[in-house]
Amino acid sequence: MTDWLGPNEWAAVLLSIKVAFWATLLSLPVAIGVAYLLAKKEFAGKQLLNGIVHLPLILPPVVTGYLLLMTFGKRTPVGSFLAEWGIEFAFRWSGAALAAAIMAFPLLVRAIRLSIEAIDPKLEEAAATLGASRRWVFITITLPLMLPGVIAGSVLGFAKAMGEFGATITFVSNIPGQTQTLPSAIYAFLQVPGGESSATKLVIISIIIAMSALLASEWLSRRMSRRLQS
Amino acid sequence: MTLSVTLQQSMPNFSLDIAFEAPSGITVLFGESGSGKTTTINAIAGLQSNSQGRVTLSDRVLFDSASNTSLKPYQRNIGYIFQESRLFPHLTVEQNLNYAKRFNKVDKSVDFYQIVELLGIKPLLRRTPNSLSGGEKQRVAIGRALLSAPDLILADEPLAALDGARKAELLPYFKKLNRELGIPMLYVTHSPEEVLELADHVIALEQGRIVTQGPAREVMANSKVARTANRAIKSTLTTQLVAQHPDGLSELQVASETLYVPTLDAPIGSAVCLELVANDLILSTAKVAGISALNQVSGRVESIETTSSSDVLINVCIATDIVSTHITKRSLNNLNLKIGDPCVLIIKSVNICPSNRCQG
Repeated sequence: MTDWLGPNEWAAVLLSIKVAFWATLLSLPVAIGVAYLLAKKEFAGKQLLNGIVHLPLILPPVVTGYLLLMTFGKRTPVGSFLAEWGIEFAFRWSGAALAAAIMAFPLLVRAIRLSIEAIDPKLEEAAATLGASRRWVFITITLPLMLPGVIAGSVLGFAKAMGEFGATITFVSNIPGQTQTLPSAIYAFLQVPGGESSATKLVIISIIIAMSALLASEWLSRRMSRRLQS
Repeated sequence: MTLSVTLQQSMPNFSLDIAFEAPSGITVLFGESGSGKTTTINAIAGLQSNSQGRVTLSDRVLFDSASNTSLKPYQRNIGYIFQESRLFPHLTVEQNLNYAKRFNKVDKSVDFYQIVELLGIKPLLRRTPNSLSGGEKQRVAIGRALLSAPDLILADEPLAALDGARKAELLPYFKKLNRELGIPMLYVTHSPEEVLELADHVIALEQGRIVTQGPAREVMANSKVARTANRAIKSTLTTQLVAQHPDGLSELQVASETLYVPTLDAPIGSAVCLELVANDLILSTAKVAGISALNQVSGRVESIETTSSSDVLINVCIATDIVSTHITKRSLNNLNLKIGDPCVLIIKSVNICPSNRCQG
């Protein structure tokens, strides 16, 4: 495998997996919280929150990347504050993960919200009569019952994070070995003469990773739904 | 352990205003749908918001709108058996039964095996709720509520979703549980049979008000309650479809009698079961001329039951079926009917509805 792929290409594959993994992990807890709010609660500004959540889906990714750069760049207030704590995003792999997390966020929220809305609130009521406080109802009933949605959303988010290009290249550039993810590597290879064969290999790898993630999630959520549905 | 309830609630098309005490034993809240039974027990369980009043269990105040006290459902220590068992689909039967265990701070020594044995659900422990029949689900739901070691059990028409055979199978469990475990129960139903089978004490509700309350036999003999109860008495008559008429009627036959009903979508020759409501039927000693009702069916008086101080239920044998009709004692005296006498049931075509309970 290492012979077939050059060191730069190999690095891009590993980096993409790392970025997508952390992006999903970062997005997931926030997405669960926001999805729960949107599905269960009525509050002022709910539509506004809903709009903000969906913003990365409809904005040009370049705009999202530029906004990130303006917020987390080294010379911005937020960026310099975080830098004092040793946290830097701009032109780092962690920045790529942040950009991918934000781009994947709406997909996660949508999938999880749908699965929360599908849960019969009567089951949560029954749990309350058995002595479960609201926090316990969430942990023991709501969370396990929304798991199919969480898995579907995570896989979708992971795939989106793997393929994220516009926001990433704007925010963290395209530095081989540091911020060059699969799509940026493919883009870079296509810019140089004779790079097509390397690009093709990466394209094949992208397809394999995306397809296996999709199949795995289908299999998992079908297994779970079979158990939950009568 | 005495439950004491005072509740007022106004909603756009309905208002509730009741006060009652439920001593230990089984207290049945009886009434038609829309009489406020479910609203009442949901308020006791804490699942209903914006009611006024006070609910106490012995000396524990669960709810008091005057002092703005309202315990959360999980703080009330009340077991609730719902109409649709509401078992948690992601847990096994055993995990469902043990669900309340982790929240019980005080050990009240409820014996898991005693309850599992009592309900006959030991063979089901490893199964998932979706693989259970309706009756099995409901038995597990009863066990789950009992194992939360409640001070009071609420049951909201727990048998309504089950068929006749399952009902008969489950009914004795409620009685047995109450005897053996001594947990007071408030049981909601619209079925007079369940009242007579279970109740130590009955509270009859109508349109959000208490009509009467007291021991079961007394309350059910009250003519106002009996009328509500008899609205629910239905009989089944098995007939055969013999012809379709162009004026929107189907012709049915039972023995040598003919009935007409609004067109049925069934092939000629097929068996049709009719559901007849006791209160919709008129009884006569002979066929009557000059009457709008199309159907006059001859039969024989099989038995006569007294249902209240003013009313009786006459069971009429037609071919192989028994059809019940509800009449006043005065009418019975006027007709001078005795067991074995021939009689005629007069049925308006528009009051007949075909039932899907046909046995073949």
